[in-house]
Amino acid sequence: MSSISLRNNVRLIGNGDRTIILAHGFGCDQAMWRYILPFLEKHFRVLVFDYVGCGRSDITCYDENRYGKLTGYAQDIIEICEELSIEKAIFIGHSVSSMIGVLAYIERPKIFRSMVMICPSSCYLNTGDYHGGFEKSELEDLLEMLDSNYIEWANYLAPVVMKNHEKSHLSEELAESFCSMDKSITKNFARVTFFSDNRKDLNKVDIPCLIVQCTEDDIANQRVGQFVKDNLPNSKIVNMDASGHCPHLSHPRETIDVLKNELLTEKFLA
Amino acid sequence: MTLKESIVDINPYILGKLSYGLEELKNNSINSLLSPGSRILYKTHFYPILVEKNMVHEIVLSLIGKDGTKHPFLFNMSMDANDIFLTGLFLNKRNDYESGLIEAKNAAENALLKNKELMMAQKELGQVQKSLEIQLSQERSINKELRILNKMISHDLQEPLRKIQLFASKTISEAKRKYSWEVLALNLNRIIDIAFEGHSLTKRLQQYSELEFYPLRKAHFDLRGIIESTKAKSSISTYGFYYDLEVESVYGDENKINLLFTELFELVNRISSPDHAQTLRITSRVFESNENVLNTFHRKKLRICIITHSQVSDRDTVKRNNSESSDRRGVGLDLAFCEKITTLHGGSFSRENIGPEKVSMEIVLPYVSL
Repeated sequence: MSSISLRNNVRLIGNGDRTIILAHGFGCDQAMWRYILPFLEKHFRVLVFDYVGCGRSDITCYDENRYGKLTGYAQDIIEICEELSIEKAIFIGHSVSSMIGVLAYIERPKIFRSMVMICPSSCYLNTGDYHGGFEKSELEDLLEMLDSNYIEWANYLAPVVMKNHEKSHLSEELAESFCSMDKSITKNFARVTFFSDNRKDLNKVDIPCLIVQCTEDDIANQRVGQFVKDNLPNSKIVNMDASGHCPHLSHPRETIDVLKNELLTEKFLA
Repeated sequence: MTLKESIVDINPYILGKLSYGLEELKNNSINSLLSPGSRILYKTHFYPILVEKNMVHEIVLSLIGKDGTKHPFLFNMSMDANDIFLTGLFLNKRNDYESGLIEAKNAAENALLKNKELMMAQKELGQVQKSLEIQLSQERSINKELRILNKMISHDLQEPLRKIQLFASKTISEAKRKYSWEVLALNLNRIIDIAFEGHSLTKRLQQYSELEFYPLRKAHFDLRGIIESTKAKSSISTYGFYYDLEVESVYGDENKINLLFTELFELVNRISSPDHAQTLRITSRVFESNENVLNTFHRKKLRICIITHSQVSDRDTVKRNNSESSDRRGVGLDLAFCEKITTLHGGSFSRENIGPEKVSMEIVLPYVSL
């Protein structure tokens, strides 16, 4: 396995003609996709990965400067695509990964043919007329909470995992390390995620985009979802019955239905 | 809570802490009670773990009381097919203590970070200082070269120009006095000679300044062979060459080393009297350098020592070469060539008078074995 694939714990599953890239959001890792993977791998070649500092990525590759902006994470996606010669893929990003996908597309348009954004937000902060959902002080509360949960971060297993990449017993470790994260990286990722403002980047994306919006999403509310839709020139929004911020985990069946209805269409596959 | 996170029941202890009645919270979402930071962390991190493992232990979340006060709780959460259960432990006092610990830990981490930054800055400073020292040494070397060139230009080039002026004036005054054409032709020939000398000097200066334009093409070559071939082309008068070579193979740019010996023989010629001839003893030895060089590869050096003994020429035994050296003008430029070529190879050149009519010249080059 190459250094980039190891760095981001890249896995390729399925044998379809077209490639789907699944990018997890803040707070978790590629395991988040496990309930919808069986459907996707029937129709597509599916690429899943972990951002550096999440899941089973190589923590030693973390660079504060590079990952101090969402463009650093977008660069990871570009490098993965270049290494695996992936072009015209369908990109599915959850939460902050929707904007990471936007930045990757702007930088290297040939890598995506279409995008699906699950619970996206182009800006989490309330500023002027824009209602992102959070005041600055409220987002600072998140950083305090990350500090308070120090026991949680002590379980981070990535460095151990890295050295044992090829070994089979790691399926057990996977359950143990589910959504494990390094504390300081998580804090930085939280800052980068929740203090970023990508509203002006949206209109640079001209490929077909599908916005999947949940009801009662306390992280990315419906107004935010509508804003993203209004500013993406070639987009469509689907409002799910599912509530919360992780429909692919809490409501996988409905998520699969949405993807089945919307993804396997001429527009998305063209 | 239900699986949709609506509150079903809360025990009186927690209700008391939050100053709510059960009816006020029943059927509301838990999200309405969580502080914003707790809500994000719960939704993005703990909830996925809860769904995956059906339980999550020892997590800290803050609930907002009726009066807006934040109350930290340590929760264990579990999930079955119908409900989500939360068991909470109020952390207020413990939280103060833990907050203090976290604060102290953060301060220590920040101090370590600053220390690390300081160390890095110090390291960077050291590297900058090192590179400045290298630059300074290069500047010194360039200055030295410039001084040599200045000397060449100010001395060697001025002299032919002065002579041209002198003979031109002489020619004019002689022409005015209507001297013979033979005298005029003689003076004009002198001017041509001097102009040629000036031209050849500037050509040599150009050759000197072009030495470092082209990269070295290094290879192993035979030391004795190169000395012999150079000697054959030079105008040096010798009684004999005596070799004591521990190392016969030299690693370097053959053309430039060839030029080095050519210049070296010119130097020998220049510093000896016209009626003297040379006996040359040439030795080569490998030695360990004491220079502080990390790469041991470069610690080994090759020293080539040439000792010349100049004696009054005995016409019968002296070996003379017919080569002309008229195009090798420029007093001192031969020494500059020797120094420059050895420096380009990462070595050095030195010259020392070691006795009456005896000069030792030393070439030191990095040693690379075959």
